[in-house]
Amino acid sequence: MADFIKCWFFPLLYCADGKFVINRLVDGAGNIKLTKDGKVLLSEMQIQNPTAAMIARAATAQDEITGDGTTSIVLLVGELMRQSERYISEGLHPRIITEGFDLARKEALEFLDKFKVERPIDRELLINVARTSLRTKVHSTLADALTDAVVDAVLAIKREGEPIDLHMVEIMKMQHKTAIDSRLIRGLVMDHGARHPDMPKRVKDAYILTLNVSLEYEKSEINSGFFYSSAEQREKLVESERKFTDEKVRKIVEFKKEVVGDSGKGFVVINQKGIDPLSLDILCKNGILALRRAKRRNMERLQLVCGGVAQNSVDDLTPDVLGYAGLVYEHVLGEEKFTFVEDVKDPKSVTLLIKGPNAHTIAQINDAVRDGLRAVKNAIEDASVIPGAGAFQVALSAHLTKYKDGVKGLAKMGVQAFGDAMLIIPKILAQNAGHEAQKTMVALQEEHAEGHIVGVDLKTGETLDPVTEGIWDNYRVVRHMLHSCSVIASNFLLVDEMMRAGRSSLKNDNVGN
Amino acid sequence: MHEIITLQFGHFTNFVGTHFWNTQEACFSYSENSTEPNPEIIHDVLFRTGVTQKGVETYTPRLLLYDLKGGLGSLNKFRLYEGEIPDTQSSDQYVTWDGRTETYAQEPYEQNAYLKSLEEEVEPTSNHTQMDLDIQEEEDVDYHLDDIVTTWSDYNKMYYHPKSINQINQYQLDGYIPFDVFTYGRNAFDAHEKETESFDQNFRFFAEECDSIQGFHVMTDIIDGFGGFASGFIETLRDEYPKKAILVYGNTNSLDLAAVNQERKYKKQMLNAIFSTVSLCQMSSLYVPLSTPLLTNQSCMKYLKPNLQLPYHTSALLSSAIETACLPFRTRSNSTTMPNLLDQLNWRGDTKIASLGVAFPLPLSIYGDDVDLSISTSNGKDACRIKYFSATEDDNHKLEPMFSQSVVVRGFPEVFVPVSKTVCKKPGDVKTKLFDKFNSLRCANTTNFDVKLAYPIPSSFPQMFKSLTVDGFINVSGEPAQRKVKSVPMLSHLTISYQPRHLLERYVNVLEGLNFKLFPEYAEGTCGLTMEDFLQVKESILELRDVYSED
Repeated sequence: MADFIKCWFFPLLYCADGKFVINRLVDGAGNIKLTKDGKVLLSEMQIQNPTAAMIARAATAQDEITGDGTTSIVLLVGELMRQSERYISEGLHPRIITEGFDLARKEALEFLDKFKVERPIDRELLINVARTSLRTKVHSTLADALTDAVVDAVLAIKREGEPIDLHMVEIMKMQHKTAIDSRLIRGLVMDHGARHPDMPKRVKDAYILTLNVSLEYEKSEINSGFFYSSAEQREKLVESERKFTDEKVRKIVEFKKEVVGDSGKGFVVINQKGIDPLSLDILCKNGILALRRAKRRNMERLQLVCGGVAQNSVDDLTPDVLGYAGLVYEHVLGEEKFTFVEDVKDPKSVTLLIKGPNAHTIAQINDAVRDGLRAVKNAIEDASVIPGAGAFQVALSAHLTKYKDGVKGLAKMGVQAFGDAMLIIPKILAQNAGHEAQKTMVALQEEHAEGHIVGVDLKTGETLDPVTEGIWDNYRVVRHMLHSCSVIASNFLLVDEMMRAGRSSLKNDNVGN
Repeated sequence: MHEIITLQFGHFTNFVGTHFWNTQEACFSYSENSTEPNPEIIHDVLFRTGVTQKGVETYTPRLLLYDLKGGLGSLNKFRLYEGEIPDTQSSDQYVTWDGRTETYAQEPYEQNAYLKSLEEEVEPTSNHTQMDLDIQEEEDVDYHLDDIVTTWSDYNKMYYHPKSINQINQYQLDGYIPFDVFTYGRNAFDAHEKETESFDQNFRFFAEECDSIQGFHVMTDIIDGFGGFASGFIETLRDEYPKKAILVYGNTNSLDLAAVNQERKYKKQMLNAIFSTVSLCQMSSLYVPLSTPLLTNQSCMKYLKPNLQLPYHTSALLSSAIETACLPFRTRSNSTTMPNLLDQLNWRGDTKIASLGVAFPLPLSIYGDDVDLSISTSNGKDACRIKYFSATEDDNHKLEPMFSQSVVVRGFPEVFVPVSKTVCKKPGDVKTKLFDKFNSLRCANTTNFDVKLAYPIPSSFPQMFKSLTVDGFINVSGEPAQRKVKSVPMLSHLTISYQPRHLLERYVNVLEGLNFKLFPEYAEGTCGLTMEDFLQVKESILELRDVYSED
């Protein structure tokens, strides 16, 4: 275990996080991945070690719950282990240290609740939160370009008194032009277009009918086991099936005529199921733009974007099931088609359009945007934020040093180790920004002692006030991080102990395999 | 046009799939003024025309393949659409990042000599005349593929669409955490979809552009986690396409099967196969379990000498069977579709498990001597010359009574060489006689298909033929063959019979003596299987067995 920590873990840690280092992973076939996400790193670098696998799982859990802080978890677990190792080598039993961790964790969580800043969650604060998150993942010009889009996307889908469902922000990727062209579309972008050459490419002032009805000729039963006794009988059956499909299309066309009339308005059908060429042809002849095989989730999004209700049948269609969009148009890039549904009233679902020159750039922006969205959502739901740039960790470390004095017995060593370990975050921040870590640390601790809230200024290596600079971390990210890093580190310490004890007896025994 | 979308799940399955696609590629006729205005094979059934952003036209399989991390070898998925791969060594500036970057590069997976030669071939073609090409082909350098092939991409000739290639990132091929439990695969599917939405993004991409899909052609490994992964995928697929035909091949690479002394491993593989069988049967239209031939079973291979230790060889055998059996869906002359044929085969409605066998090659001399297939079922002594890819060894010897069969014969010559000045056999007669043999078997529903095109043998195909002429006929002259076999006539026999009962019987035996509580790994994760699920699966297997039991 200790070997693992030294030769595998630390190199990973020190390069992994870093608010200013991005890792470029190249696999055996030359595929590139750009990331700074600890979870991605762990899973991308070949997982061949049980400890790494365990940390990767913890990081995954962190990611699922909070959407950020995965690298910090990896970092903290490593540092907790390193701090403990010092004490253990001097003869302290791992169990004592884990007791100390336990106490420290409880105290830290209480301290966090005191440290957090509760202030009205306005757009300005959210912009700061999003920017803090994005700037760690993409360069600042691009981050700033994405910041507004991310915040406005979340604000658009936010409904009073309801949990925020980020699925209602569609992320559409377009391999085209430069990353800076990424933007927010107040509407929906779909990755497919009309499949009939004569259908309109641009429809203004359009009714939108969302359907989940198959408009293709299909046999009515699976494995009916029915045998045609003659070719004629078969023909007849095919014909009646065809009629069945045509009837459905006819109903749509009639409905269109009824609602549109001579008004000159457009009519768009977006169907989750298929539409075969014959049906497309009928729709086209009647001036209807029709899209088939829409994503399942887009059915829900469409209703939120344009209003209306998705229909499972074409019987008894009434005008109130229709949605509305001012503009629907198609955009073609190589073999890929995109359909934009824009110019809608009060969209409750929006699209973030990510552009980039190649697949790995798009993937990287996608990761950044996803994390940014989560950060904004977290801030709104937490109704509080934590001063960032390592300020919390500096304060917590100092607080635990004081708290330690009140702890009786050897467990205080564990508390001390926990407190010291926290400093890894600001230390790495300074280091990766290319500054002298120790100098920065001293400055931080001194300023903190004077009663200020201070974090690392990445540009200068000096201290700064994260509150005035608008650098904020998510409350729940930090909270979950404190919790899991101590639990995992404790587990490792205890498992390590058990393994040492049991090594002789378990030699060469393949348990469970 | 009736499109088919192909799905491949698993490392061994991708070996099979690679042979499958290489064979397709060998069927292409590149010359523009082809002598045949209407080629027999409609390639558009399996392939799609696309265009890159640079305006280059592409023709790629309508395919999604899944493999574990490390399973793709030197295959770069963006190759076709993004052109030259950027230099991986330079840490040039990225448009998205202006800070430091650190590069972690894996040892590049070396392209072997065969792949390099393929790439060089592509470039200069335009400068060469057809003559030059012919000469080039004649030379046929031997790349010793048997020795250099370690993974399927080592002999892959096909360019794939970037959306076709999907990697399951949570598991490493031969990694520390083995991907050897059905449940792991099922969970991995959910996790993979959450991360990459490959069903919505990639699968939908291929499905949306199809005008009238006839069905889905699925190949999957079943003794490891991929059975679970495929089950997850097909569940989603069935949900979205309730009425489409889904034809599933469940592949077992016999080389991967646990040895006798690894009881726990063996039981896990059986459990995986059982869970896969039940769930795939439920959701598919037809399920064909296929096992590679065992080392101990060399019969039925008079004209073949495959190295059964190499997945590169055994997968080629399975691929030839699958490729031939699905010919009727994509030929101009035999106009049937996947749903039609599957309906005819499974006319009873409850017999979804089929068996597949081949005569590879179809033993036929240039004179048209009688085809010796010995397929009579009258007594058990007659060895059947058709090789069935069943998991149980002893049932090769006799054909079980059948519910239905589909026979595909391909590669009969236009004319035979006259035996003597006066006697010359007519291919039509020989063919009729052959089909009559099958028609005379006790079987409720028989469909015969005759395809002109012989099974082409691309340069990537293992050299495993013996005593065959260049065109794959039996070499009666006795002289050693001078040149490589270019194509072979063959026959595939897809049947629904009582045969699966042997396999199901084996499954039942495994289940009876098994304490599911001793396999807690099957209960892990959100898709974990409970004791109740286990009992239900057991019940389903018993039901299936009853279907295939002779009264």
